[in-house]
Amino acid sequence: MSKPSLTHLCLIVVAAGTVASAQDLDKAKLDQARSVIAEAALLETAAARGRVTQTYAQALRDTLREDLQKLARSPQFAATAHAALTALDRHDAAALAGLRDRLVARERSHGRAD
Amino acid sequence: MAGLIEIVLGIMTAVGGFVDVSELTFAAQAGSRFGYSLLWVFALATVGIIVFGEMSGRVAAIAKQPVFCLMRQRLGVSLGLFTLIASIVVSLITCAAEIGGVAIVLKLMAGGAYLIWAALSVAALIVIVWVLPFEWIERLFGLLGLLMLAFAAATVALHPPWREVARGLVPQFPMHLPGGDRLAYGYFAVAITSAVLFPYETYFYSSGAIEDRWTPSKLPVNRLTTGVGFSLGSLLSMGILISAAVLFRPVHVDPREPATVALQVAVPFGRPGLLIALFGMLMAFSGAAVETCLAAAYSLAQFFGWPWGRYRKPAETPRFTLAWIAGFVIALALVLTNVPPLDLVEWSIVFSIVVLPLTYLPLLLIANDRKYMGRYVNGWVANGLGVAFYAIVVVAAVGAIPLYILTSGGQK
Repeated sequence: MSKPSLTHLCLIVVAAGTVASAQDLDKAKLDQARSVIAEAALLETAAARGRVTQTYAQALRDTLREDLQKLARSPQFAATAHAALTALDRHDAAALAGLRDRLVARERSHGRAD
Repeated sequence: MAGLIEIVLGIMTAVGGFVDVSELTFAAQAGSRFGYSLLWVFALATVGIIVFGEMSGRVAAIAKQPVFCLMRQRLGVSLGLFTLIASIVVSLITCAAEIGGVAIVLKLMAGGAYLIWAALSVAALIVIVWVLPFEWIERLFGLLGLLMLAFAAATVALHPPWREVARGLVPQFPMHLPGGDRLAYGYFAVAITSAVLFPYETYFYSSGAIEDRWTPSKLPVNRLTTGVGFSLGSLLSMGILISAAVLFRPVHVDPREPATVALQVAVPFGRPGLLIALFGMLMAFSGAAVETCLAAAYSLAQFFGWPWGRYRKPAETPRFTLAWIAGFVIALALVLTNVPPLDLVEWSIVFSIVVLPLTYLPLLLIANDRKYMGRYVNGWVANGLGVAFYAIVVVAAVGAIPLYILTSGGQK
């Protein structure tokens, strides 16, 4: 087997860096998806208990909807984001909490420490 | 009696004006992500702002010199100019972040479009700064900002585990966390230090002392305002962190927006609590927007020796007046580019800490100079604390940008 050339070594380093940054990106996206959906669940719970005004709830829903629509563009999170959007439109806190818990489990499998 | 009222008003104004959009969001994120373990950073940084705040007020009262005059004298024109440009950029980014926060709160209170609220709020702030005397600008936002105490009440109502909270006040570094989370912890520690020690606070505070024509007789007011006012303000920030650890951490919410943080008050106190908290946030962020914008104009005018001050009529200080109006317009332009407000908050936090060593060095030197300060020169306590906190600020400044890049702004 021939000795690896400098070009080979550079390619290996670049590939490793790309894989690492892709993993970081996935983890950051996963964190973001979990937090947005958790926020939506908390909002819908508070709204159902009459703890927030309608204007506040609507404004926060709009922001969360935008965040979820951005997430839906990523193939990895499209299904979850669409499910969360549907639950948000139905003000379904339980469904949102279920989606959040699934993402938390995924994060834990990726080594998240609580 | 008048003296007592002045002291109480000064303290209340300092408390009401302590929390801004950066402290609110970083305190809430820190609590949600790391529980109570970053409380000690708040406590430590608060001692730092008390030390440097007191020093800047004392130097203003005795040497009659605001921070930027000192900077030009002590750092020389080149380094002084670099600091001036960096400080103005940081102040304007911070001002934009505050305006973004104001617009978000108005949208949460009344509906409508974020960008329209941003434009309307800047117009309103320009009118307020133009019309009101300096003292009233400070008191209007500072006193109404006291409605933020709803967050402190919410902390008590959420029944945090006080023993664990107390443990968070002990300096610690979570070695048990994975490497990425340890870096994020470091990033949050630096960000909290920066949010508490924002450079605009000393520019504004020392310029305000000159606006109010402080003399040595005001030194006790200075000591109480910084000591008591900043401590109580910091307790409020710590309350936001504690509430986030109680409310957001168990349900895995990383509150990246002021809108979410308001839920801390809504959950225990319902709609009335939510409205009080939102109004308090509106006043606190508006006050910080005014302070940052005026701080940028003060810096510019003091560096170039232009006539400045809100105690003078705008026609007597044309370049200063133009500078603060331009500051608001530039900050608004930044908001109108639709940059997410949290990005603005992060940039302002990171770049502020980089500017801090250059802000505090001349202050420390003058406060130690008997030629300027006479018998009001730094004692050994102020000096020891000043040097120790200066070292902390330098370490934080060196680490800020690498930590920001390595953690993608604490998100990794």
